[in-house]
Amino acid sequence: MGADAVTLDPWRERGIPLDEQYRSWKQRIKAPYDKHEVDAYTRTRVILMNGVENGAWNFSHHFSRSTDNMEIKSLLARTRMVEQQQQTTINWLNPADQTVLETTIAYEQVAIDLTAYFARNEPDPYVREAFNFGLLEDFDHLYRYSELLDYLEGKDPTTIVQVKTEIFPGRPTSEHHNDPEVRLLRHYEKNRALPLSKLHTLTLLCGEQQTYNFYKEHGPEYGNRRARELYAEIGEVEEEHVTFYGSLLDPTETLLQRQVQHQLMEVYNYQHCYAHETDERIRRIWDEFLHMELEHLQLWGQMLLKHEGIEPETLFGDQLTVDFRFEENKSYIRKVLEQQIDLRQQGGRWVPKEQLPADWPSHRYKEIVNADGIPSEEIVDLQAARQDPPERPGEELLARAREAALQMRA
Amino acid sequence: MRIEALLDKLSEFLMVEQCGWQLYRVVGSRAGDAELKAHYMEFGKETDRHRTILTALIRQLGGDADYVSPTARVAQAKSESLLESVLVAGPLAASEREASDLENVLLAETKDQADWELLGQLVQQLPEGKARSAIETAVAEVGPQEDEHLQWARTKLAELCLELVTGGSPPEPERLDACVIRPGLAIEDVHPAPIGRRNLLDAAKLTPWQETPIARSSAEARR
Repeated sequence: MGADAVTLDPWRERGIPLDEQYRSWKQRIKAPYDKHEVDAYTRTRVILMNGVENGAWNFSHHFSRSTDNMEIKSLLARTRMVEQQQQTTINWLNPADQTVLETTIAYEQVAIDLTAYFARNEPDPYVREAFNFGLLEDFDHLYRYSELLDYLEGKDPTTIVQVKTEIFPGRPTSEHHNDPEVRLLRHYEKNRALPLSKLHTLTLLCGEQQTYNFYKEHGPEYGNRRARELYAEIGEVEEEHVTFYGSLLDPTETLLQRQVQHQLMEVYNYQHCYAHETDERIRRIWDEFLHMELEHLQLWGQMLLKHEGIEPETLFGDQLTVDFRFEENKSYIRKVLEQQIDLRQQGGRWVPKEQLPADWPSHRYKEIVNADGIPSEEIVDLQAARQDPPERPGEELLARAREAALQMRA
Repeated sequence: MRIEALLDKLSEFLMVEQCGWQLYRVVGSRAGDAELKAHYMEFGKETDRHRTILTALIRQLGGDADYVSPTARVAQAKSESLLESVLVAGPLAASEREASDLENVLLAETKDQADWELLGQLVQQLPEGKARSAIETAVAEVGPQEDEHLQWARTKLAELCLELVTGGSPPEPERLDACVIRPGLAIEDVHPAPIGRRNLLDAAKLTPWQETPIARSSAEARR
């Protein structure tokens, strides 16, 4: 474990009683962070926890629609109301002067540094390689959106990622488009998988789902055709990622087990946010929400024991060790890039692209979607065609990345 | 006699027949074994007839056959769970799937047979009259068929399972591919360039849980 890993007893740690968790409008809406001052990883924590809360909220509705046990339905309604209040507080921390594209760059930073850390920490080698595969795709998305940011808004993306995450081409986005069936993985086995693998998978799934929602919601707000097309293209890859990570979950997990898992995943994520937050004001929010989630977790653990006769500790462990933190993963990503950039998926496994069969279903799918132009490549061409010399250090870095992207294409 | 309570029960029994009929249609359409298929078709038809008999009985007793009682809803959910088990049967070999379908039939027929046995007991306690006569007639026709369905399912399932264990070829190992159920999957089997231990953090070196939740939850394991 890392030196600053924290171990909790999530089933007994004292939380905030549920009937003390509702907040007024004024308590709920906090002042946003300053986009010029905020630490990049404070922003990524805000984005991640918004996705985690939306994921929990969404699942809670799905669960509620699948049961008419009033005891369960009532607890779902009560905890869900709190989840949505928490989501409001968190998402409203994003400032109004942060453009959609700036936020998008931060979304990709979340995806990269979250996935890379999880892969480095993931005990199940199959799940780890799934993370590595997705990592190289989100890594490339950051580069493509960075070109768009420079093209549309003339801004340096490194001021958003603050040099903590490299902006460089990964596995080209044009290669991420697959026949939907190709994305399906084997699932972990719920009796054997370590809780950590389950927490990693569910966290990533919520993050990817939120990213999908964000791109699909905000993509059409741009008047510029290039932006609209790029959001559509990368938005579809996020749909593939939701399918991809979602297929890792064991389908024999019951709704109640999955509900406990969501709550434990929230505790896990609030804990690292609280432990590593540098903005004291925002840290207090993570602290409060962590203690709300501890209460939710324990209530749902009791419900699992009552209705399925199993102590949650048996399924998820007596203790929860939280090791994650948003941090630089540059050398790891370079290594994965070097070893795995040319891998593709086939039948729940990975193969070098030159070994793909001629009838690999994604060949046909790519032919269809890439038939009359590829937005993620066109933005590179547009930028490469610009004659003006670099004026800022950020532009030089982006020009170097562009050169690499053009070489990869060749 | 509390007629409302009886009508609620009959609604539940009708639902069990309805779901049984659905189950026979589904398993009959995918059975590979000729004997299984023939029995599923035959018993499905008889179950269809049981629906008709129960519908008529409910009407004779002054009830509404379209009414769905609360216990009928629960019976429906339980029965549909049997059908839903196909959603997680991906890793089963063909022979295991066939046995799993038959096991679902056994579970459904156990409930079905118990329902008709209960009606038979009820007849003994009812006074002479229209209600007793209507139920008696229905039980006389359906009861022996339910006994036969249950007995056949029990015997045939034992036969299939014994054969799985003692004879023939073992299930294909590929069926495990749908699910990573072995601790310590050889990642090299599915990945040509896995990331090695360098660059990984400590938690990545944990081995998967070796004991199952059953062992974990048992008092002995806890000690």
